[in-house]
Amino acid sequence: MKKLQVSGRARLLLLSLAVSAPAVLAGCGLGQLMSAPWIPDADNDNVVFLGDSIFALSGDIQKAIHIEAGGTFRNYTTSGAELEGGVITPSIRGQFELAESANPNSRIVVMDGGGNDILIPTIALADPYDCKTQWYEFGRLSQSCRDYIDDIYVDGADLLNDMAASGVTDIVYLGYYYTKAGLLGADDLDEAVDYGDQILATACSNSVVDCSFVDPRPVVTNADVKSDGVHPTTSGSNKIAGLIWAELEPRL
Amino acid sequence: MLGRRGRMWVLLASGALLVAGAIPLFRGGVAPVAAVGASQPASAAPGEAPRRSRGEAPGRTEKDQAGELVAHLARTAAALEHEEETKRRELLDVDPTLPLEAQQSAFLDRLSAAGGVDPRAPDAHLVRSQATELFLRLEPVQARLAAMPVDERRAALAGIRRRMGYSEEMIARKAAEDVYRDARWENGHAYMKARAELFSRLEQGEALEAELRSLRERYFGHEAPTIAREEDAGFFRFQRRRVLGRN
Repeated sequence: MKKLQVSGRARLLLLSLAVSAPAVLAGCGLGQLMSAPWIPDADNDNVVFLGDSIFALSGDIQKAIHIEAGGTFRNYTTSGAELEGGVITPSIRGQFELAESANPNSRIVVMDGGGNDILIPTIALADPYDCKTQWYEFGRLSQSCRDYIDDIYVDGADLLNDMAASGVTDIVYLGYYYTKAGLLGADDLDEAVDYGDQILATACSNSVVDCSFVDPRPVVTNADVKSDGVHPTTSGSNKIAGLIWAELEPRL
Repeated sequence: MLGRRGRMWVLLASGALLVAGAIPLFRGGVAPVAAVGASQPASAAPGEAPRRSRGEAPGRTEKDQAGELVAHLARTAAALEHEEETKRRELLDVDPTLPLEAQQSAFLDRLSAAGGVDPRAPDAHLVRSQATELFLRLEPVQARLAAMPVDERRAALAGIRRRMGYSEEMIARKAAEDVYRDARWENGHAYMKARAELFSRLEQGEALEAELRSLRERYFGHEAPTIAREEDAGFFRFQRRRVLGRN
C-alpha cells in the first residue's frame, strides 16, 4: 500500500488548520491561535500548566484535570512550543517567564516540552537529524538524532533548575506517547520517542526540583491518537489527565 | 533497545527463517518481506518489495533459502539506508569556501526544495527557529563562526537570523541569550580545568569527593547537584559539541 504523501508545506498548513474556533479569540501569537485559551488568573494560581499542543490544541487534558480538582489552574500551554526556541510561539521557557511576570507565585508546574524540537524538523525539514527510524534501520536510532536529543536534555535540565530558582517546588513532567502514521507524517518515530522520553525523564530526575516524570507510552494506544498521528483524542486526553492527576493531587 | 518497529522486523526475520519456502510470500507492502533465488537476485526499486524469483534452484535446502532471504533483506536495507544518507548529505553539505551569506542562501534553497517549506517565507513561523538551528549546526558554519572575534561573531549571528526572517526584537533577544551561553561555557570550561587539577592532585576518596562538591557549588551554585548526577552517569555537558548560536 502506498503511503499518503503530504508535502512539508501541506503538513504545516494542516497543523495550522487544526484550530479550535474559540481559541482564535484568545491571543495574538500564531501558536495561541491554535491553542485553548490561556488562563492567567485561576481558582488555584499556585499551579501553572506549560507546554505544547498535546495540552493546548484541544485543552481537553486540562479540562479533565479541572473537573477532578473542582477548580481551575493557570494555563499558558501553546501549540507549536519548543523548549527554548520558537520565533512567534512562546517557547516553554517563554511561557514560564510570562506566567512568572503575571504572578510570581507558581509553586507547582505541570508541563511537557521537547516534542516539537524533534517533530518540527522531522516532518517539515526533511528529517535532517535522521530521527525517523525506517524499517531498514531495524530499530536503531541514529547517532545524529541521539546527539541532537542530548542537547534537548541540557535545555530541559537547565529549564527545570531555573524554575526551582524562581520558587517552583514541584514539577509534573508529561512525556510523549508513540505517534502514528497520519496526516502530519509523524510515523517511524518510536525509537526517537523512546530515547526522548528517556532523556526527559533523566532531566527530571537530575534537576534540583521535586520532579515526577509521567510516561504515557504504556496507556496511550493508536486509538487514542487523532488521524493527524500526533494529537490525543478525547479518550487519549482523558487517559493522560488521569496519569497527571495521580501525580498532581498529592502535591496540592 | 529495539523499538516496536525494530522488534517487529526481528520477529519477521525470525519467522522468515523458520518458514522460508513453506508459505506464499508477500508481494507489495512497504517493506521487502520476500524470498529471492540465489541465481536470480530479485531487483526492486528502493522502498519497493522485491519480487520472488521463479524457478528455484534444485537441491537448495530451506536453510539456504532462509539465508538468502536474510542476505537479501540486509542488502536492500543497506541500499535504502545509503540512499537516505546520500539525500541527507546533499541537503546538508555546504561549501566551506563560501561566505556565510552564500552558504545560508544555498542551504535554504535546498531545504525549501526538500522540505517544501521556505523558512524565509513570512508565514513560516513554525519552522524558522528549527531551520536556523539546523543551519547553525552545520560544521562549515560553526568553523567560520568559531574563527571570528566575538564582536564579529555576534554581528554574523545577527545577520544569519535577520536573513532567516527574525524580527529585530527577536534578534536582540537571541543576542542576549548568546552572551549568557558564552558565559556558561566559559564558566563550564573553567570548572572542567579546575576539576582536572583536583583529580591530578588528589587520590580517589572522601577528600576528593568533598573538594568536588565544593568546586561544583562554587561554579554552579544551586545547579551543582545536577552537574554531579550527570558526572555520575558519565555525561559531561561542557565536553559536548558547542554549537555557537544554539547551545
